[in-house]
Amino acid sequence: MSLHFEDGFHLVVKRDCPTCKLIEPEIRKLVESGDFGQNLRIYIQDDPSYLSDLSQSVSDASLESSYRLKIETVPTLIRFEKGQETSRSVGWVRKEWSQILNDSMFGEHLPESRPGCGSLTVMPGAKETLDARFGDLPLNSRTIEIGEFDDPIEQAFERGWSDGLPIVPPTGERIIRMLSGTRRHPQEVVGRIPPNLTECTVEKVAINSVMAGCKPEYMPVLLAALEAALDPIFTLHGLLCTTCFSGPIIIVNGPIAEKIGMNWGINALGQGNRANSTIGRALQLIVRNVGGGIPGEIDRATLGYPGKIGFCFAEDETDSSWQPLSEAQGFQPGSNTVTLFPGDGVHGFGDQRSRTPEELTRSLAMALQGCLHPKMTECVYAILILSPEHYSIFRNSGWDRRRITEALMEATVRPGKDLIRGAHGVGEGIDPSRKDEMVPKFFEDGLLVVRAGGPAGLFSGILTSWTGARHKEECKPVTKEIML
Amino acid sequence: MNQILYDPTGETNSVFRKPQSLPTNLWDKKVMLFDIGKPRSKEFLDYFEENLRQKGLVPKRAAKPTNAKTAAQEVIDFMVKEADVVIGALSD
Repeated sequence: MSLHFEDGFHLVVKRDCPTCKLIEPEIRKLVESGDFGQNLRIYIQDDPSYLSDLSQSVSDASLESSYRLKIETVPTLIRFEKGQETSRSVGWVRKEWSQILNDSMFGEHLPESRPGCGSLTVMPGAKETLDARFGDLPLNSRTIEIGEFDDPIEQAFERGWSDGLPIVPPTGERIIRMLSGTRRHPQEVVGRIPPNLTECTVEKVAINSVMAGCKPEYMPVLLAALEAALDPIFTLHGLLCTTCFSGPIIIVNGPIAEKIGMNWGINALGQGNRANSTIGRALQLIVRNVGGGIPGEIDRATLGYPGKIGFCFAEDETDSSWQPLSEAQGFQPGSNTVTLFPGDGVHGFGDQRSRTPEELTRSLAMALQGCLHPKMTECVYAILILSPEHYSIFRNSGWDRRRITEALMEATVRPGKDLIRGAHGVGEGIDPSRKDEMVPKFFEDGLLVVRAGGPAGLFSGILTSWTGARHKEECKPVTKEIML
Repeated sequence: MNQILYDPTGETNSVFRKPQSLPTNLWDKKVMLFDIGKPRSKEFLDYFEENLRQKGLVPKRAAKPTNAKTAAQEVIDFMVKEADVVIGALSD
């Protein structure tokens, strides 16, 4: 219910304001004069005992009056006539106050002017809270009222909104704050989320981002990741319902990674960084909550893996000799992008003896053969995450992204006779008709290489894709530009 | 003062809505066999259809081309219109 401001004078002050204290004697004179006193109302923002001896004073501890009067500075004097604001003075400006009060002598002993102090309505975080309490929120989502003493985190668990970890309660002020991270309208539809093909608005993205623990500045990254997930070639539906391990893995490129504080260094794939941990989680919460992709229901993963809580990291672009993944995917240098990869957990690779790029290539090729199964070919994509120490072996010999990738592709070609079903006493394998072929492990675009990791350690990582990528025209990694 | 949370879901379901219970028999039902596009789904459904026909039922068939993507809306509409019960085949 909105407040009604009577015709007359409305003054907003707080005790903790030197300018308010400065003008206090004049205010008292004004009240005692009787003429204006009857038409004056004084709103006290902070200490309700301040000026409480005056019948004209009211506590505005809730800040509702200050919010509705759009107060940014105290003192502020406003005049209403015939239901409309006709004049306003911010801070102490003697000439303005004299005009508003129609009293040329008012405050004659005071200085000409003094700046006021910040209103409590403009304290950090206050705007979103007050918008949520008193404003007309641009939110369309269903509201759920819970008791004063209910724990909202437990309520979220009971309603099935959580991935198994506590969520941040999605309150109006937090959602409004989250929406400040994007210029897109809250009701803009980003797309339909499988399996239920439910429309997902920017507002729903914001709600789930709040729950995941995101900051507003992550919103552009998450929106780009969601758009990548909804690209038909990414095949989100199949990924979320598969019996395989996989889930969406987000790789961020460009200056935004540093700007929002992402980690590409020590423990880049691990815990401890808010952006890395929450952006991927938000995407998976959207899949769960908006799309209905719930484990045990349509998510039929035999085992799953911990990265399905959320898996997001940035590529290390600090070495100018390295072409970032975004450029390799056709984007301009310096572009902000997300690459979404339908992948599994990290397969660790350690080689502390190889010292030449040729040795290391052969060594990495042995590990890459293990993607999904050593005898299965052209059925998965893979990402090799090169650590700085391993990359330095290539870099010191002048090998760049292209040469590394080509060498690895060549080194992972194997004779079909070793791969066919039954070969080496193993039932799994490729079609026996290919026994005389030399068979590549990956499709021609099937191996992506990125750089990440701490400066010490001859350890790299391999991510294997979902097997849905065996139909290469049906499922691929997708890169999208992040629109700021 | 009560607390207000905003619903993070697609709001397609009432909070209290529950799925229908499974039918106790198929004799008075229109049965649909749905091929979700997994390898050998058709083989399984052909076998299943033959068994149903031997019991006097005349099931209809619907299919989508791949298990990796959701069914086209017209396929969903067809099943909603033509079936009381849908049996989906998940097989390799």
